[in-house]
Amino acid sequence: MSIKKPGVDQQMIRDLAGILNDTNLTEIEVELGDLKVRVSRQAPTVHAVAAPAPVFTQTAPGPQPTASAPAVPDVSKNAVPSPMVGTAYLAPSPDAKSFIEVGQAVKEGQTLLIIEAMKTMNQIPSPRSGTVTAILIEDAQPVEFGMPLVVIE
Amino acid sequence: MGFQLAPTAAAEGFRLEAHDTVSSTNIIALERAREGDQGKLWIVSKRQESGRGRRGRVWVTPEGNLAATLLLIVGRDLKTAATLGFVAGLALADALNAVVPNARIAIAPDGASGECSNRFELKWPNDVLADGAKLSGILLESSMLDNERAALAIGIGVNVVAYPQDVPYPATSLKALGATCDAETLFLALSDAWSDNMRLWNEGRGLDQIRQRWLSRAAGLGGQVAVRVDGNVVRGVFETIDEDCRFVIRDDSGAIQKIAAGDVHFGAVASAGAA
Repeated sequence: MSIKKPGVDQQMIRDLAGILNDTNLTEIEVELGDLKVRVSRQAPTVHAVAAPAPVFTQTAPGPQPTASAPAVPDVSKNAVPSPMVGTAYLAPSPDAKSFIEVGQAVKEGQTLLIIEAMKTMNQIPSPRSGTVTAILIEDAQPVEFGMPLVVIE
Repeated sequence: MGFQLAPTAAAEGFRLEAHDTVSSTNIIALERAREGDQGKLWIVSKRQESGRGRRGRVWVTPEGNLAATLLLIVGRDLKTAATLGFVAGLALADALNAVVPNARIAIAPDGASGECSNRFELKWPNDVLADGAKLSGILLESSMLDNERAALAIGIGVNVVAYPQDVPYPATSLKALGATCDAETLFLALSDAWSDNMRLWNEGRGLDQIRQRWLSRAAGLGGQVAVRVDGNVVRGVFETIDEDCRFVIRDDSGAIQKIAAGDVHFGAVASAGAA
């Protein structure tokens, strides 16, 4: 783990690593203001990230102790699963603003993203009101049924 | 004549809401669903000010072209509902065959049999081509209404009198093809053909018959295609569409790929930039 900026919330990174282990996800990316944190369990290949924000990459080393992270959110409960196989889009068109950002408050029923299958653009609504704490997919990424898309706390 | 439903459609409980100008017939349809409409509602408009296509592309509807959306309320099985896009393409092709005279003999100069080629062909997933040029655009949008039901807006745009010149693919209009039918006449035939094909579809149970009918009118079957899937291009031969109506392509290495979303370009030189 490399930390390039003082004052970063290490607990948050530990929490994310805990989520990664608990859910068997390979990668979680969280944006808070101009801070972007990505936690990945793959080999420590650092992907290019377009945003100029500081990027912290951590490779989660095997099972993490969870006792020190009492506030770990339950992703399996709070994640919005994909209702179908298709291609997920974070914005209505390639040049448009994303439907949601990490940290944004959303209302129940608000469109989080679109999943395209067979040229049907399926608007995926938020199942509840809350705050977007993580977006687990990238724009134009193929998604499978049940795959966690977004975490709404 | 204003817009009217075919008597067959009205008898099956379809309703019509006609406008002079709307933002987009799909937007109006989804609004009606949120207001509690029970579906089987056609929204048609003479003009559309912000019609859209796949991935936010602009779809222009000048007066005289057809902009129609059918609102259906469907169960949460959106995978089955999405196959209505194939019903839409078929219904539109049927409607065009009904209202455009000589549609079936245009490219069969010998006129020898009733099996000559169809002028209107279907391009996966649901474009209708006329003599190889894009005549229409179909866009389905869904939005969950609650845990059990979703609104499905099936938007159908047809270039009746005008077609865009500034698009990176061949386009045409019925007028350019020499047909004199207007948007109202075409809509009447569409509402009729929709009822027939939706009955055949039968909540998805008749999808195989829809698929067979669709394949019988498919453009480019067995030919070279390139399919652009957001940045990647798969090249190969268009084999068929599978039981889920995915596009099946045998790529240049001989491997079969099944594609659920993408832009199809015919010919070996199809360019990635043309999407």
